[in-house]
This record gives sequence, C-alpha cells and structure tokens, in this order.
Amino acid sequence: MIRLYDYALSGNCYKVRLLLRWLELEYETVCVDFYPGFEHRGEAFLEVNPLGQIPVIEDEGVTIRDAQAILVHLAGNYDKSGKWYPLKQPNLLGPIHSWLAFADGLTATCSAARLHDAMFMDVDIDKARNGAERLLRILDEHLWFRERDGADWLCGSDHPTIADIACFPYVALSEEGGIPQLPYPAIQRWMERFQRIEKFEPMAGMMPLAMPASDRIAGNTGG
Amino acid sequence: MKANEDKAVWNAWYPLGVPQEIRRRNMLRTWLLDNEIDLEIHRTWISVACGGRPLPVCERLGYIWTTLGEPDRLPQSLIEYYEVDRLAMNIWSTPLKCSGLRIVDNVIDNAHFPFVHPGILGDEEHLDLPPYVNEVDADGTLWSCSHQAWLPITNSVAEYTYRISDPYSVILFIHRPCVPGEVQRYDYLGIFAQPVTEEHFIAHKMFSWVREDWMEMRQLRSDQQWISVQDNYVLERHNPKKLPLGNGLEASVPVDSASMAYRDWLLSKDVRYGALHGGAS
Amino acid sequence: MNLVKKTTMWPVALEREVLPASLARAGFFGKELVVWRGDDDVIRVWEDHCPHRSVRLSAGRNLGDSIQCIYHGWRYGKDGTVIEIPALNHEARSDISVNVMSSAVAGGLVWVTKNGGNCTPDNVQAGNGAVLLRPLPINVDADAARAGLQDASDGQLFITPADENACTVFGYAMARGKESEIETARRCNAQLSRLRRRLEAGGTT
Repeated sequence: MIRLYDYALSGNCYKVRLLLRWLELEYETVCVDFYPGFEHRGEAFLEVNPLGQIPVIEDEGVTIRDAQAILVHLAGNYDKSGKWYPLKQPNLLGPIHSWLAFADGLTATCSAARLHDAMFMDVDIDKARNGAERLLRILDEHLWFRERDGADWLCGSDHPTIADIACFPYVALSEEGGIPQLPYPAIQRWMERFQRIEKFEPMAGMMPLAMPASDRIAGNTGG
Repeated sequence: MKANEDKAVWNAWYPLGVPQEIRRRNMLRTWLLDNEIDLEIHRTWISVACGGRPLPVCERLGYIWTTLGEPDRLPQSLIEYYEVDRLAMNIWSTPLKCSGLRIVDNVIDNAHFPFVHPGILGDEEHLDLPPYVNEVDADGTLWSCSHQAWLPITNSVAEYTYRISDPYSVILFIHRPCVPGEVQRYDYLGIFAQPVTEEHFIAHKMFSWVREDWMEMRQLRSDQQWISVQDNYVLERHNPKKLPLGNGLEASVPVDSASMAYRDWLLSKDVRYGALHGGAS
Repeated sequence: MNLVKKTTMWPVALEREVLPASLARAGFFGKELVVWRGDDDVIRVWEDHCPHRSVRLSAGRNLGDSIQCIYHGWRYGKDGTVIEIPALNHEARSDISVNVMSSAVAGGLVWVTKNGGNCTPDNVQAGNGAVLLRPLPINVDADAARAGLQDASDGQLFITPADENACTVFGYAMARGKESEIETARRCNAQLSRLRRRLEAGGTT
C-alpha cells in the first residue's frame, strides 16, 4: 500500500491527499509533527528524506519526495481516465510542467510567508510577499484570458490537471501569510470552480462548507 | 492606547512559550503588549527582561509565564493538569492577526460549530443550543456553564464549561462521561493569548486530557491544530480586528449569551487594550 | 483615450464576471465590498461585513436567495436583512441588516456610489466594437494612476480607488483593424501592465 508521510496543515501534503482521494487510491499515513515538533528535521525522518521536506510517499519500494513529483507519479501510474496527467496529449505536458514549476514558486513565496506568520519560520517576509504578489498577478492574468477562451483550468480543455492541484493549495491559503486575494478576481473564480470538483475536500484554513452547486457557471464564464 | 494604562491587562501573566520550543528555536526575542521582550537561555532556566528590566518568570501548565505589571496572584491555576494519568502538551503556539480578545470570544461560542467545524464539532442537523449559565464567582472569575452541543465525532451531546480569569485567557472543561457517585473529571483545553499588539497575538493552546489507550500524541496534536486553523479562518477575517465593547457595533441575539457575558465582564474590568470602545476605531 | 475624472460612481466588477452561486470581492475607498448575483439574476453590492460578529461575508456562501455568513450561518436576504439565524430557531431579524451599497449595471460594468446616492451611470461610452478590458489592480493611489495612465490607448478608463495606496483600472478599448476582441484585450492589458510597472517603480510616464 502507498504510504504518505503527512502533516495535515501542509499545503503540499494536502495536494497529494486530494489526488489520492480523486484517484480513489488506498493509502496509509505516517503523521509527521512538523510544528512544533520539528520532526521533519529529526534523525528518523532524515533517513526517509535527507532534504527534510514533506510530503514523501513510498510506493512498491520506491520512495518519491517533492509534492509535484508525487502528483506526476500518482497520476501517471494510476489515473485510468488519463485526464489528470494526459500522457496521450504530449502537447499538454510542457504547459503542465511549467505550472508545476510555478507551484514550486508558490511554495517559496506564499507558503514561506504562511510558515513565517503562523509557525515562526525564519523567512524574509517582505521578499516572500512581494514574490507572491508577482506570481498571483501572473496567475490571475493567465486565468482571465483562459476564461475569455472558454477554458476553466490552467491547461487543456475540459478537465482539471495536476497543474491545478499543484497550484491550488498555497494560493487558497495565501491570506494566512498576509497576502491578500482581493486584487485577483479571476483567481477567485478559479478557486471556486476547483472547490466544486466532485469529492473536493477542503483543508483547514479554506472555506469549510461545500460551495453551492451552480450549473449555470459554465454558461456564464467569459460569456 | 498605552497598555500600561489598562490595569486589568497590564497586571496579568502571559505565556511566552514552552521551554523546549524556546530552546529549539533559540528564541531570544518576543513581544508582549507592544513591548520587546528579551529572553536569555541558560542551562537549566530561562530569564526574561524588558529594556534591561528583569521580569518575573514562572513555569506553569507547560509554559513560561511573565508579566510587565504587578499581578495580585499567580498565573492560571489548574492543579488537575498535573495528574499522573493525563496526556498533556502544548498543541502549538501560533501568531494570529487580530485582537487576542477575539479568540476568547470565539472559544466560548458554540453556535459556530456546525459552520466552521462541520462534521467535527457540530453539524447543520443539530443547531439547537440550550441556554448557558454565566456567573462571576467571588474571585472575579467568569464561568460560562451548561454548554451542551452535538459532537459528531462521538455521535453524542457533549457538555462544556468555560473559565475566564484573565481577559486574554480561557480554559475549556470538557465534561467526561461519569456515573452517579463518581467524581466528575474533565479534559482540559487552554487558550492563552500572548498579546503582541492590540491587533496581533500569539495563541498558546494547552492540552490536558485523561489518557486513554487509543490516544496518539501526534494525531491528537494534528487534530487540534486542524480545529484551530478552522477557527483562524474566521478570526483573521474580522473587520475590525479589535473586539467591540459596549457600543452596539456588533448585533447580538440570545444564543450569544456567553459572548455577551464575556464582553460585559471585560467592560466591568475596564479592559481597553485590544478592545474597541465608542463608535470610532 | 478618455480618462474619466469627475464622477460620483465607480466600477467595481465586470458584470459577466459576477457569477451565480459565487461571491466577488472589491476594494472601494478603504472599504471592502462583496458583489453577488442572486437567483433572480440581479447583482447586489454590499459592504463585506457581517453585522453580527464582523466577519467578511465573502468568506461565506451565495445561496441564490441570500448570502450565508461562514461564522454562524446567518443568512442575509436580497434586501440585506437577516432572514435566518440557524441557532435561534431559524428566526428572521428584519432589524439587523448589512450595509447595502447603491449600485447599477451599465456598459457591462457593475457601478457603485460612495454615499448611498442614486447610482445612474451616464458617462459610459461603450459603443459598437468596444472591448471590455481586464480589471488591473495597481499599487499606487488613484491620482498617481490617473497621471500615469494619461497616454494609455484609445477607449475609456475608469479608476476605482481601493484604498489610499491602491486602485483598480477598468475600461474599454476599440479594436484596431482586424483585431479580435481577445486580441484587443491582450494588447491593452499588455500596455496597461507596462504602465503599471513604471507607475509602481515610481515614475509617472
């Protein structure tokens, strides 16, 4: 069985849990006391991941670290629909990977600011927030023009991909790091669409109640 | 406003953190009531000062406490915390961007459970809340009792009692199931706010439950942090960030009786730091 | 280009971007607003503030006939008053109301006034072929933005102050030659973004 080294309040762990849920994969978790226990920097965990970062998965004897790599591994191996990581549409893989790299940028900015604000991590907070603003502007612009093209997601056409999963958590949690979401209405609408994906489950720090359904949404987007 | 002009707030004890976490972070600086606080970490103790003035230090309930003023009593007292059959820990110390008075107002309110903690502390099928009993005892401590609320994770009604002895602190007593004749025992959660400024505080969350076989420290800590972050989602979306007192800025209804009792109690102590009096901010 | 100066009303959202079952946010002279489309297709603009415990309403849900506050589930009906308090036997309280802004829809934009005055947008010159631009937030005050955007392209721009240090630019532009709508929007967005970089770096031209 897949084993996930997990901290409930990590956005990078959350994105892995979301995809596991959407792929209906069984898994067991190893709870890592990231804060205040700091176990990810402890001897035991460093043997699992010498980088001292969560999440990590172990699957059939293979250990994979890095949230984005884990999304690629899970969707690439287990997604029967072929939609989350569309290997049969190579033209989409480049764009998807550029957004996976973008998600690393969100970890370095939005997530860093959040760790600074909520868990006393040593971070250059102005640099993190300014960097986050730069990225959120790029994301909002991309999504606005995607909507004008009638597209709901970061890449591709009719179905979200792991690019959306990779970018969603730290965008949704950005206000915990003192990064306002108000200036980005297209991001706001994308987050609402994301929360309406069937079987979506919020993480603490996101809106806890289900979004009401709206079958008129698609018709109105960019219309 | 100047914190030292608010007697009830200035002359209270506040936690600064847990000794081993202070050591791990090598925390040499923190803040309290707009003042920079310097810590000195020694081999077996930690000393605290403010602008060169040594401050009293006291270790209790897992935390290091200090005060800038002249308290007329010791920090939060809870003898039961030290009972040998308990699992006790600091869930975490986490900064929040609003007045620390807001978190006490949040903790003693059960009507938000179905919406902020759905499926965990409440659900929308169980909205009724029997009236609470609020009273101030001879020591001036505010007790809010008879809080009964549906608890989905146990599929039963739970009872809670809240004890507020300082403006910025609250201890929750979770009533344990008990047969007649037995002594009633409680599981405890403490929310102790360390006010950094009027609109910014560090929440220290104390946990002390009677140990049971199923309990796993990491999982309990994780679950409690999850619940706290659900509350934080609301706490960091207040505008104003300070707690309005006695000015009708926030409408209340009868189910808010605990919140109203807390606000009246703060008014009776003339608490101003972190509060919003009158119409303007 | 026509940069609208004297006005008593300001755009806060694109009409088509205020979706059903959704809550949009806007900054407006230091206040925060929530913009929502009801199940009657009417767009309403309220101060983003629950009168009960002062939580942002935009953190909650648009249920079509009401906005539900996330904190205690209080529901505010289309007129802004409380139509349900779940923990209080689902009672309504018509004496408790959100602050409803005076608003109107014109030329594809949602407009609001500052002090409750009638909102009748009459300065919108969206003629044939006018393309709505992407709203652009800028981290300078509205006066600085106005100075810096004087040389922006053909069309009409409206600058809504979000607070003392930030504003949002709304507007239209005319298509050039055989440009498609989206090409026009892209061209103007790129130009405004360039001007924004200059403005935020401290220059005005």
